[in-house]
Amino acid sequence: MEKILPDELLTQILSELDQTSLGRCAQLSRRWRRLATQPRLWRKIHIGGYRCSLDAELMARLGDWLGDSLQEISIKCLKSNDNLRELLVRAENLTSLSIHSASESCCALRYLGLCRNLKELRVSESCKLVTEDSLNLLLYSCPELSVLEVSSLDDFWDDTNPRVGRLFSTLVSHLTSLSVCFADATKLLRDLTKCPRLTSLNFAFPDIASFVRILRCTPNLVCLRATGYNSLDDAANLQLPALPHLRRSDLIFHEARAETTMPLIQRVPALKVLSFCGNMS
Amino acid sequence: MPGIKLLTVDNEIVEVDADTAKQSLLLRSMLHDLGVTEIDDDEEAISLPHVTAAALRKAMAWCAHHKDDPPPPEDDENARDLQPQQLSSWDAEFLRMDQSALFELIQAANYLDIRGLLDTACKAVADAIRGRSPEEIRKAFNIRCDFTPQEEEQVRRETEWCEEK
Repeated sequence: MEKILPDELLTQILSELDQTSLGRCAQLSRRWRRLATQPRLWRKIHIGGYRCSLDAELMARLGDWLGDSLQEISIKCLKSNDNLRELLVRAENLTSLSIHSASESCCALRYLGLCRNLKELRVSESCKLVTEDSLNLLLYSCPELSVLEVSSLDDFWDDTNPRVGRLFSTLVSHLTSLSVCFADATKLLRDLTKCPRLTSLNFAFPDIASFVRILRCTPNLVCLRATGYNSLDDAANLQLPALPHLRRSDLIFHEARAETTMPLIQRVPALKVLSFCGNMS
Repeated sequence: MPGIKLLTVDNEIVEVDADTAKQSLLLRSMLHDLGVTEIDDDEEAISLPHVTAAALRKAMAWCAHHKDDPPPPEDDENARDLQPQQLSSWDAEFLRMDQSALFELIQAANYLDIRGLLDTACKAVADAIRGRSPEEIRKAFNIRCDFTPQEEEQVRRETEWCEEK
């Protein structure tokens, strides 16, 4: 019955489908396999997981098949970084890379030098991925990078190397959007200087003074989300920068004295969400 | 409202409202070229060689309901990726028909060049595919598997990675 539809229309139907459904359509018949495996339908792929081994054969096959049509890759549970190279070396037009739960031995970011068109990088739950080497690669090989998200519970950056903080700050000064959600994010941002391009920022802070210090570097913020603590009694005396472009700010305090925090927080523009949990009495 | 006469592939003459018909870019340019403004008994019906009467009526009913919609955005494949839109409940109900009728409607929308209807109907077919196993899709769309058992096993192995989210 599907015979009455020409290839062009069947392709349009397939273009509405996600990767799982496309994979199933490729199993239907020879015609469906030919149409469902057209590289232009696979600009975004998700790979990895418990049942899927990211072996070199798969990576090379994906690279040969999809190559320069690939724009977004999201990878889970990467174990061997060498396999990632097989894919990235063929994905010349990649603009977005997400890495989730890479094992500690893996320095997946070593191959960022292959992604010269990268605009967005997201790394989560991956240990020791932000190193001096990977930051140098990001700075010098990915000139288009504008969105960076890193989140982790602990230990994903090398805090014994003072150059890491400086490189990270240089990198952030080129970005339009930054999300750093982990306990010592402000330590990684300790060398931050003016970031006029940054319009979206999401970060965690250990005390309200470092919250204010970081906002002084981001005069053009449009969207702010911050999570943290305040134990300072004189928080109200801190000088909050103007932030004239701010359209939305969400603030979450895990532990804070509401009566000393509120006078400062009330001056944050465009406050949409404010939540105090686990307040100190 | 002035009407026009259309002769379908199954030799039926269908009268449609001219304003509604103009949502079809094909009919719009035909009417413009012919200078047709209203029904005239002497006027010959415009022949539509690829459209059945049932699909034409269905397409015109869709156009009548959507006559005040804003024009669809330019065909930008990236923009489409960003916002996978769900069918409205009216459209979902309207497109509830058997597969062959739906495919005829897709062909009609394509031939008549009604972008909104074509996109909507393709989404409805995609919705019918999503979440089903290969065997279920074959059954729903009456697709004959022409793989050899070896080929079928090979393509199954090659697409195994797609199942992981």
